[in-house]
Amino acid sequence: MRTVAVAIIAASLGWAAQSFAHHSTAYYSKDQKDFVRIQGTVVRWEFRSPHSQIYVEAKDADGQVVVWRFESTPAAWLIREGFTQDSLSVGDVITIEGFAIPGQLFAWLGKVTKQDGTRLLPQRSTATPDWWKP
Amino acid sequence: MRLASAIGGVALFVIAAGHLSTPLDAQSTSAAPAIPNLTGIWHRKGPLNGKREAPAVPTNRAAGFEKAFDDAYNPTYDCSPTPIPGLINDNYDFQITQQADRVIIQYEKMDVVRTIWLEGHGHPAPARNDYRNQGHSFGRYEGGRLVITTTQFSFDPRGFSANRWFPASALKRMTEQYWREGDTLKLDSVTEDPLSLKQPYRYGWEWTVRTEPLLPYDCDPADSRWGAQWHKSKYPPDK
Repeated sequence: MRTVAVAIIAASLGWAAQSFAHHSTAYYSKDQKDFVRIQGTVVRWEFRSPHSQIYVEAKDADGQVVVWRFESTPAAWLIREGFTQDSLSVGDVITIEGFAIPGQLFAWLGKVTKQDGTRLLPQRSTATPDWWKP
Repeated sequence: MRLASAIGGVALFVIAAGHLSTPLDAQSTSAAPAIPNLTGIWHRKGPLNGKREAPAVPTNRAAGFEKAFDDAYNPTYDCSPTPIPGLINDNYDFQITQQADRVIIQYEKMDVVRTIWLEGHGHPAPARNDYRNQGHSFGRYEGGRLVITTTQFSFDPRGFSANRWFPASALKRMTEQYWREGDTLKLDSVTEDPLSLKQPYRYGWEWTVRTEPLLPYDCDPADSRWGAQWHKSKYPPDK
């Protein structure tokens, strides 16, 4: 069952962003209230530059089907973390978390957890809040 | 036209002669081969000798430009490559190919390809009005190093960094020295710009060998500019 859970997680110590974004990503919120964790189905997966994108279909708090777009680093960076084109397929059911633009269905990707427990973790970037620990 | 070429040639000679007095450290490399083997794909290890250099220091006029700059103008949103030295500071891998009369450096970031024209092979000087995103680069081997001097950059708001907006003028000049120690490629560089920098901007990096081929970047302008819509302009909307 696809559900949406917007979670507020406790503040914790993080570490400084280690990499630049392609351009400023200041529009993604670093506020903990805008952190999202969603269980849904991958409907589109773009492993590309300058930003890879994962589109996830899920139900919102009212039970309506929505599609979230999670943005991440370029393919050249993801691949350094073992996150490749083959890491995801359309139809995969995943839990995904990230940092949303307030009021939008767009977020900067934090982490993907697949049903078999595999974690896909991009490099931290300037869009990743310091308080977040994967 | 011939006169312009001749003047351009003289200008190039002056530029080439000028870099003999580059302020880069002249280290003893008497044991190094005359032409070092720099060919390969390189992945960043860290700053040169483990020491990160201070960021570039803008002049007041450059700092004023940065303060006024509105993010929507960022050429990166349109897949326009960041010029060196910012390009090299961005953490992407690159490939060096050495040929008899030139050196090709291909960057994973934005698929940028630089051609370093080696001196002594009759390469023509660029036209005096030919300014480019990555400038014009001439190089030579000296003391086991590849020494590159690049001039004739086009004006760019990302003059010295992919993430800052103080611009480089067309007077920017960058000198790079590459050499190899075992499986490590090293760079020491200095960039000067009398309009934009209070002092020469120096940095160095070290890279290790990468075995996987570079990935095409194939930047998608529509995807790239998508993010710009979310930035709030620092200026009021037009009526």
